[in-house]
Amino acid sequence: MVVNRPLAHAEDHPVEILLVDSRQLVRAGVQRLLTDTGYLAVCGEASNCDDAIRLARSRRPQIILVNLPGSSVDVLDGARKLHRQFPDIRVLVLTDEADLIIQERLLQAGVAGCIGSSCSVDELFQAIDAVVRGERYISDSLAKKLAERRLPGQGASPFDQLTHRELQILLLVAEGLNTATIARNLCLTQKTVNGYRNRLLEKLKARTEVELMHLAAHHGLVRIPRLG
Amino acid sequence: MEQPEIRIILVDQQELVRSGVRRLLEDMPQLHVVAEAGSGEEAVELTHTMKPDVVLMDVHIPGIGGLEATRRIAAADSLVRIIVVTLQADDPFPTQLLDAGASGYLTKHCSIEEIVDAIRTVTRGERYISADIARQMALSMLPGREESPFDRLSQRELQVMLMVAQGQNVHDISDRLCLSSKTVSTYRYRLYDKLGVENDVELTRLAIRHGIVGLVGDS
Repeated sequence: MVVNRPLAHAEDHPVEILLVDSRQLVRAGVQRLLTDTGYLAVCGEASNCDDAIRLARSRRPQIILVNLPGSSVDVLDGARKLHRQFPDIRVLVLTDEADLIIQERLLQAGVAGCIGSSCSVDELFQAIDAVVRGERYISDSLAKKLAERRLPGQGASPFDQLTHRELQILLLVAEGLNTATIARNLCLTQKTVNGYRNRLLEKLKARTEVELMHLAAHHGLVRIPRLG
Repeated sequence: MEQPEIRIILVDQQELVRSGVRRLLEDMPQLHVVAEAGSGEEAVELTHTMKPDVVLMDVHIPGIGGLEATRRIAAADSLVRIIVVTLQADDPFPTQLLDAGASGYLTKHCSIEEIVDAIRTVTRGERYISADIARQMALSMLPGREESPFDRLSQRELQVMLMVAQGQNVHDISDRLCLSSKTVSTYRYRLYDKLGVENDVELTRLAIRHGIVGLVGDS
């Protein structure tokens, strides 16, 4: 649920932002960029969304900026959790431009905005300003791509039919995780996870989980970096 | 005493990261960021035209990538110092990158102070490896060249592995190779053992990472 009112902030009270990025160096750099504006401040830093949830309780940020490139599952899950736990905090997520499916799911989940991870600093500020005003933010190119997906005959993705849980498990399977690990991570029984695995094979018409992985990779849902 | 300026090119896919690190580096009087690049090709091109003292490059960049960019830059100019920055401390990269011509190796968990230290160190002509990487390398005692775990596979094992990696199931594989399902499964478990993986997807991912197979659907 989006709350359409501007964030309250007085002249001398900067907008408080919680940074989520696994890399210390990047957090330090982004913090500088934000504080140099004079009206933005960083009230906390976390290297993952779980830590961000804990920190958000005590620091009470107005905006949570999530930058976790390369881990679609964590981003999707984490951002949804953040938004659900703190519906009044604006969650802004940076994602790979090619991750259309992830971006769509994020927006459906109610995050305040999605920004391409190769965005300029100006675009980041624009996005922050928009959510401070109480609006949602998506770039023009993302809006265009999302609209195109809605056109009849256009790129409907095979993943549209998946529930959130199914998509989540697909991503974990495609990362090479075992049933036991997935079950532990999601607090499900192994039997339940295996049920999902079978359902995925059926829904996506795949013979094997390796085929599922290839399908996910082909649609940009997972990335497998080459060793060079 | 005036210290000579150190001219730097920053290479990272995200403009946000480049801008932020640039801001932090430019706090230091001696350091001057002369250009930024977002891909391996851009890095090579800009290094050629701007002739910086140091190239600070993320290894996971698009295009030809950080490893190949390192090779090309080092091959074209032996004077420029390349510092490679990576995300994971257990990326099996250090020796490959140092062999390719990098002078320094850091993770993104490092602080700006460590980066400045690294820049100053490589400018003096020395190598810089962050402490945790150095420890990692010493513990694993990597040889000069990274061996591929696939070198240890028999022909038959390689065959089975390729078919698994293409998404074929045990039934298809046993048909194609005229083996029983039981035999195929035995080969699969032996593959898991030799390659240190626990399932078919992990196996396939390892093969893709090592360039043994491509993604289905790749041109």
